[in-house]
Amino acid sequence: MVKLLRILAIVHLLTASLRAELTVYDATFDTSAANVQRALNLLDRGLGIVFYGLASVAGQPIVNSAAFSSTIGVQRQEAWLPNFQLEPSAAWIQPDKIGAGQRLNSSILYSVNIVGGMKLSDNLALQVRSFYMPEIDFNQSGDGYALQPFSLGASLTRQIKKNGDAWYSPAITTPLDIGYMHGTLTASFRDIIRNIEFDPDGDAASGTTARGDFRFRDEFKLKWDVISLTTGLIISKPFLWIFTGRMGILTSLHNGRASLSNTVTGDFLVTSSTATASDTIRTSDTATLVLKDSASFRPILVSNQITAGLGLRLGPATVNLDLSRNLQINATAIMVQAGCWF
Amino acid sequence: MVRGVTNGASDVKTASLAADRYEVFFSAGVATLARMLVALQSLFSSTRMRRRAHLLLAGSALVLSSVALQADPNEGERNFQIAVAAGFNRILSNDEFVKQNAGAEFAVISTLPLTLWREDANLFAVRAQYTAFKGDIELSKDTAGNADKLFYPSHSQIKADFRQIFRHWNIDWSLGLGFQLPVYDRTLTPLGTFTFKEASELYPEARDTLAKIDRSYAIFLRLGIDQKFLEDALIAGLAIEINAVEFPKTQQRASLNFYVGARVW
Repeated sequence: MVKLLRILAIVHLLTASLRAELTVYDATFDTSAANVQRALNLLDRGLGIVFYGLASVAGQPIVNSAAFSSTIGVQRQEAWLPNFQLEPSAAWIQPDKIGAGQRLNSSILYSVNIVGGMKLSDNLALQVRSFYMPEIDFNQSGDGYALQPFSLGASLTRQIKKNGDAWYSPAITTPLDIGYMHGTLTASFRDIIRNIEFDPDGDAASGTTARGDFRFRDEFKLKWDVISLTTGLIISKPFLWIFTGRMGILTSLHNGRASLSNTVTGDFLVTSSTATASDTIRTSDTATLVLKDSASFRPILVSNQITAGLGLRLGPATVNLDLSRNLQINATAIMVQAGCWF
Repeated sequence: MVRGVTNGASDVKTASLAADRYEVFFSAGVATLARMLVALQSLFSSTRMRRRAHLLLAGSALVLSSVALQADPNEGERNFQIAVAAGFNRILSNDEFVKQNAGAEFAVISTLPLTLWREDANLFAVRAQYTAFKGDIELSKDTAGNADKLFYPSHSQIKADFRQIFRHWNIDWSLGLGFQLPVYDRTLTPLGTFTFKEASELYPEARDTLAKIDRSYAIFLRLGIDQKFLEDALIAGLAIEINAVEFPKTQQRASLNFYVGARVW
């Protein structure tokens, strides 16, 4: 009884957040019969629930990482504002190891971007960054996986305090950053689900059971858009003539929108059925099924990043290594940047 | 000589107009607050909560009335400054599940160009907060010995508060009153991502734990320090916030807040 109530609750909830549509072609049985329609509806809802579970479990880590990724690079500051800055960089988001039975809260994601900056006044600079990852496409035996995010960001960086002589008197800068990230992830694969048990006459009564195999191709697509506002404080201190150390606290407000869609196209073959009536699904019946699902999320997140970095400077040429730890999604970004800042 | 007399009359007239403006401002403020609280208390189901709302209403009216009486228009000149801040937030609780949390906040803090009472300064803050709970909600095991878990419950809210600053021993002590509006709540379940309410319907066993960390409306008091540094370029604060009224009631009565920010205006 509890199980039945739970199923009813799920169906009720999903009608609000999920759209599912099942179409049947070339069936060798009468699909218009009311009892067959009931069976198909049960199949539709069951597959819809499975899709929603998979999609939201997969979608959240990616959106979390995307939100984090759009802020990577904000922490890269020097003890003085740049007259001119041009620095390509590569970054990697590494989620924490998770315990047994736990699900991932963030996903591995890497980025390649370029930052350009210039001074606007004595204590104000504009820094613009763009992030683009060429579409990664894996194809093997008809299965495919493709990922393509890009982002844009702009910071108005204000120097609050200039660097002093003493070690305890570092430069302090504050960024006011707005970032946007868009991405798509597509996955397609083929599979066979064998021995699916179902009710061939749709009355859900015990005694009549049927089994079938479903050969299908699944095409899954996730799209996300995240707008982030970031601010905080970064302290920077040059030392030993050519090095600069920096630490910072940043907070980001992310407003995200993610939509997921899934299309399953496959052939269903009934391998056994105890039903004998004329308007039921019987052994050797076949049908082509197309199931389309879609869902969307609108996460609103605020996250803290603790950052630390070390820079090497030879004249205008710079090489930097920065770490950024996100406290809310338990992941660390590692960034290497090289270029010029003078 | 004639010009001097004219200026004096003009000053008196200006001060009188300013005093009128203060009176209108505070009368409107008290009336608005009263309407808000009366509307809010209609939401409260228990007599105890209604009594608290009445006390808060009476206290707020008393404070604002005395402020209106003592507002001095001649000391009304204050700089208008805006800062943005990055903050940390931690809910304080004895409950084992609730106390494992990490909160972040994005704040916009403004000074007001007014002297309302005998305070040395005042601030108005609007903050977007997000709190993630680190523990999993583990449900009882089935006959096969497997247990479902709910992961990463989290919620976000908007907080707005008004702070009076009193300077003693070169420290800016702060006393504030504000309200909280819930925005978003989600938890991950084996069936997907759902709101707390939806997850409670799917997993009734988790209802009590989710109720402890539920999204809520609240009126809170804030006690702490809001200190400016480097000629007002930097601001940092540390405070404890206590929910005087909360609906629905949860185990998130008090929280600790820390922030650092920089002046942008």
